[in-house]
Formats: sequence, structure tokens, C-alpha cells
Amino acid sequence: MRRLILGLPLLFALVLAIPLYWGLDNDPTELPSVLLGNPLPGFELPDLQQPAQLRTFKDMPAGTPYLVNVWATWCAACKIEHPMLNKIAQSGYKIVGLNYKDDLQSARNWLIDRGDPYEFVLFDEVGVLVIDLGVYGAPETFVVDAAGKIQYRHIGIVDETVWTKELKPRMDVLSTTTLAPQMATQEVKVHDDE
Amino acid sequence: MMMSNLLGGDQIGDDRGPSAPLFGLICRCVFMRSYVLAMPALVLLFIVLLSILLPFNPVLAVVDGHEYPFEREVDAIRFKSLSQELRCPTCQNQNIADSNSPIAKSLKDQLYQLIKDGESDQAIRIFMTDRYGDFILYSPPFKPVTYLLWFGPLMILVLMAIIWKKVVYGFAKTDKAALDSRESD
Repeated sequence: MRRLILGLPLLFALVLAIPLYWGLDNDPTELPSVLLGNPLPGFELPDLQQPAQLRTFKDMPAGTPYLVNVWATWCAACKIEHPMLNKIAQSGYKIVGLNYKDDLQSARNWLIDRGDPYEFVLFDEVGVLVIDLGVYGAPETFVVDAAGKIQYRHIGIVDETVWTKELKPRMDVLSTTTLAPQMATQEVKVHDDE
Repeated sequence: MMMSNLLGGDQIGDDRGPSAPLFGLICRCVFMRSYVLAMPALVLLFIVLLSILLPFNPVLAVVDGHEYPFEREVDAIRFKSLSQELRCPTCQNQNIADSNSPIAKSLKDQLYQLIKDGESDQAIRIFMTDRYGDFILYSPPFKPVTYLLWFGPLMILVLMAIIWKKVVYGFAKTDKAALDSRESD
């Protein structure tokens, strides 16, 4: 009995070791978006190039899945990510930029210097859409299907591995299972009411 | 005689209120000169004292008061407490009051606007969890998924108390047995 009690701390340590060992592989920064499966939140934001023009959900690419990429010129990781975005755009995938808390002119210069992979860029100066999307920080990339529903979210840099393993397969599946045009327009109409 | 009473008897802690068993155990340990065994009780006492004293400490985090002026004092207090209750998504171990990351600033602005709009605390919490999940709340909600989180520490504490008591009384018994045999010698 005495020996059994002396063995208890060891047992306790072993039991404790199980969740701790599991925690090693568990990245606390990887959090599932609560918005998965939900349509993009409604928005009305100026276009980076023509701030007088307000962009809404209607302007988003129709009939095809696309990426929404959150970026800013103050975001160091975005610099690393940018060439990959250029590559993705060149291979025919559509990306909508969401510029967050930035200076209009420096954001434009960034696109001139580094290339512009975006269909267009939404200029979210205070972070309205960014908060509605539950963004954790820049860079962050959402996969949105043809009907405008958020299907996946990647926090952090999109590099070659992330693109080929996480994002591209999803984009490809979504574009082959594109909804019938009728249904797609119905989904869009829901947004018009917002 | 008195010694064997202290060691073996169960009189201690019978009629001295709820904290008496704890003191009884400490006395027993001190009397046995086994300070190692007294440690858990002293730690427990320390935790109890700390939890009583801490709420009276002034809150150190200062939310940029000048940037967020409120007309009503109560709103300023609500802003302060809510911004300390919401976790910064980027820097996960800071609340949005302490963090100066862009997203924390945006969330503070949003919080300010929501309070200005007259939203209730609960409505604001729902607004935040609708976008960021339960993660954004520093105090996790009480629901089946979080039962382990809420009861886990208590379960461990009870388990440790049981083991500790067993060890103390176990030793006491052997000591008493040794004492009795010495007395009879």
C-alpha cells in the first residue's frame, strides 16, 4: 500500500504528460473561423484605386471561387507573401485584396513596386469588414466559393506549400462543383437585400 | 496523553467552523515537525489569502482614456472592463486594452462604437463571439465543452487533498503505533 502511494506521483506525471504531449503538435494560432459556411458579411468599401467608387458584394467575382486576401504595407509578412500571390493570380485564380488600416498612397505604391495580383482592392481604413470577417491579423486569406460563402480560412503567409496543400485543392474542388447559375444568382440576391 | 490525543483523535476540527479541518491538519503537521507535509496546506492558505486580497488591487492596465471619451461615467467603466475582458486575437495572451496591435485597436474602436450605440454588455459579447468565436472571451462560457476547464482544477485539488490527508493520517498512525509501543516499553 505504501509503495502504491509512492508510485502515485509518477502516475500523475504520466497522466499529465498525455495532454502536454498532444499540445506540442497543437498550434494555438490555428483557430477555425466561426464564419465557415456562412456568406461573406455585407460591406460597402472604397476601391483602393478609385476611392470614390464604393465596392459591395455585387462587385465580387461571379460564378467562380476566389480568394480574399487581407494585407497591409505595415505588415512585414505580407512582403514575403506577395510574390506567391502574384504567382497564384498568374495561374488564373482570382484574388480580391482587402487592404487594412493603411495609407492610400503607400498601398498604391506597394502594388506598383511589387505587382498587382488583385482583381481589385477594398480599402478598409478602420477595419469594418476585417472585424466582420473575424480577422486575426494580416496576412490572412479566405477561400470563398462561387455563391459567396466562406469555405476556408488560412491565417498567416500563403507560401508554395500552403497554396498547393491547403488552398489550391479547395479552389479546384469548388470550381468543378460550381453551382447551377440559377442557384448562384439566388445566393447573390440574398446579399443585395443587405 | 495529550500527544496521543492530537495524533490519533478526531476531536480537532469538530466544532470550529469550516476552516477548522485545514487548521487541524496544519497543526497536526507542525506538531509532527513535518513541514513538508504542511506545505500543501500553507500553499492553499496562500491562494485563499491572495484571492481575497487581489480584487482590491487597483487595475494597472490603462486604456487610452483620452482617445475614447464617454459622456457617461458608467460607459467609460464598461469600456474599460470589456476591453480587459476581450482577448486580442493577434497576441493571444493580451487583452485588447493592453495590446497595441492594429487588430486590437480596431476592436477597441468597434467596442467604443458599440457602447456609444447603446448596446448592452451581453449584446457586445455576442457581437464579438459571432465573429471570433469563444476564443475572444477571456472567461470561457459555461457549457459542456468547457466543463473540464471549469471543474478540472477543482477535481485535481480534491484528489490532491484526499491523497494528502491519506499520507498525513497514514504517518500519524505509524507514529502513534511507534509511540504506543514505546510507551508500553
